[in-house]
Amino acid sequence: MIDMPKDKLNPLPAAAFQILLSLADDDLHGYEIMRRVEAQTDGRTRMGPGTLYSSIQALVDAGFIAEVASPREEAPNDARRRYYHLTTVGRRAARDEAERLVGVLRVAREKKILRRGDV
Amino acid sequence: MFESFCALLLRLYPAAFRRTHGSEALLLLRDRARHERGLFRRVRLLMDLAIDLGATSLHGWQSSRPLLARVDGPPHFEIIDSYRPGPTALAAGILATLLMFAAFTLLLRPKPLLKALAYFSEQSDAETPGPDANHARQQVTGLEAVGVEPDVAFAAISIKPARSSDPREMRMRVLPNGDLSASALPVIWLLPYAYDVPVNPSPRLSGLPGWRETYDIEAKAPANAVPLDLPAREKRRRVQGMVRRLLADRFKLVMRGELNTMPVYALTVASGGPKLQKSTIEEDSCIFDTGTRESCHYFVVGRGHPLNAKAINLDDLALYIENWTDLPVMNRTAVSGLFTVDTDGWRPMRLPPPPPGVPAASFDDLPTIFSVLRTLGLELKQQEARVPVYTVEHIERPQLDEGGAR
Repeated sequence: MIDMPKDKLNPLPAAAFQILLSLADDDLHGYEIMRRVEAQTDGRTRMGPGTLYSSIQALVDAGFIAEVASPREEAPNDARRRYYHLTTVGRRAARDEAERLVGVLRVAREKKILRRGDV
Repeated sequence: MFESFCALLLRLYPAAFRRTHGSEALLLLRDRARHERGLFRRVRLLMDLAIDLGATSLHGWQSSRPLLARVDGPPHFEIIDSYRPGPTALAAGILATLLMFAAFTLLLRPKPLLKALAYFSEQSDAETPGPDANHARQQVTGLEAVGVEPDVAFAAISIKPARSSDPREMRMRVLPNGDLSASALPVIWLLPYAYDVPVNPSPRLSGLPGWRETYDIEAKAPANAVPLDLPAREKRRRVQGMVRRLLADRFKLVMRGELNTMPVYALTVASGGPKLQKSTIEEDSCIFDTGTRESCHYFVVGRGHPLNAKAINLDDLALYIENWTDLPVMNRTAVSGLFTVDTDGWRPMRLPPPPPGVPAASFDDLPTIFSVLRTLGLELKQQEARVPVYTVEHIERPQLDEGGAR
């Protein structure tokens, strides 16, 4: 097991977590990741190229995602698109983060900040 | 075109980012531009880009993140963490830059910058004037608005309550050197002299005060204020400048002047040529004095306002008859020099209402001004012209001098 870098990805920043979630089902390129994150957050999060690719780079460096060959036949103009795949380590990191958030939710419910029917 | 613009904005991102993810980022922007159409979405895209650019520039960009403690391979050093300036450091840098700039401005005082600061300061005063600042600004505005040279001023001025309130004692004299002396003079008589407007109620002068206090005024012109060798018009202009300054300083006059296009009478030479008699008085020895028939630039009062004067020019003539014509009168004769005139009175086209209890005078037996002017070889032609129109925006009773010139 590779130790997780302790600087920027522990706990996972929200943008990075959303990127991991977006890659849970499919390999996607940058624009698709951005659109899926926007859909996951009900339009609240739209990442610009700088934020998106800095997060992607950090996740690649951490081994949470990896660049892969295009899973589909691209048009000639789109040959430059880079696709990303959620690695096993990344999936585990996403699960760890989700479990952390569940714990936070549980505390919020105990404190009656959230009621059971709210989420 | 919008896509091209977005691509252009991408060039503002850090070079390291563009090297690593430039082509991907370009594809992303083009995809967004292609899919997000409509004004709102385009504006939103640009705002997202601006915010993202700011965040990326502020936090810096690194193409790779450091890893902790690699245990494989030969011993070597890894950079665990890299330094990039945080927001506090950036804020301190900006503050230091501003302080250096302020120091540069104060110490070296570059003129263009000071002018710019003065300009913005004036704009700020205009938006939020305090009472004193506003009054001072109005004084300057009043002088500048009517073209008074701030440096032209009487060297000494004395303004006292008139010794006599009898209007028959009213008199005003202006000597060739520019000295002014007046007795029992209401301030409204200084305005026509200073601004070449009729003394009678006129559409060219409004806002006159209702108070009619009269004053004895002595004003000494500085040495050589009106050199004898100056042309007549320039001499008059200089004296007028000093009177305007007196009005602004002592009566706090603020006069707004503007050029308005309106119907006028143009005083012109009739087809037979002018029939004017040259005056025996030379301009160099001219004394404007309302108390003597031998005065220059002054008409002797009579029934029906006859054109009766020893030494007047045609500017004086136009201004005089404008008191009673129904339109402003402009001298368009191009005839210069001083002339002696003596005509019959004429039927005024307009008159102020008579005082209460006094019957209105009748002038029906008199000829029209058109007839009178024809005897001088002159005529009035109705035209449109741009004429100066003045409004008294502010005027006060003056601070009076108890004794001696101030």
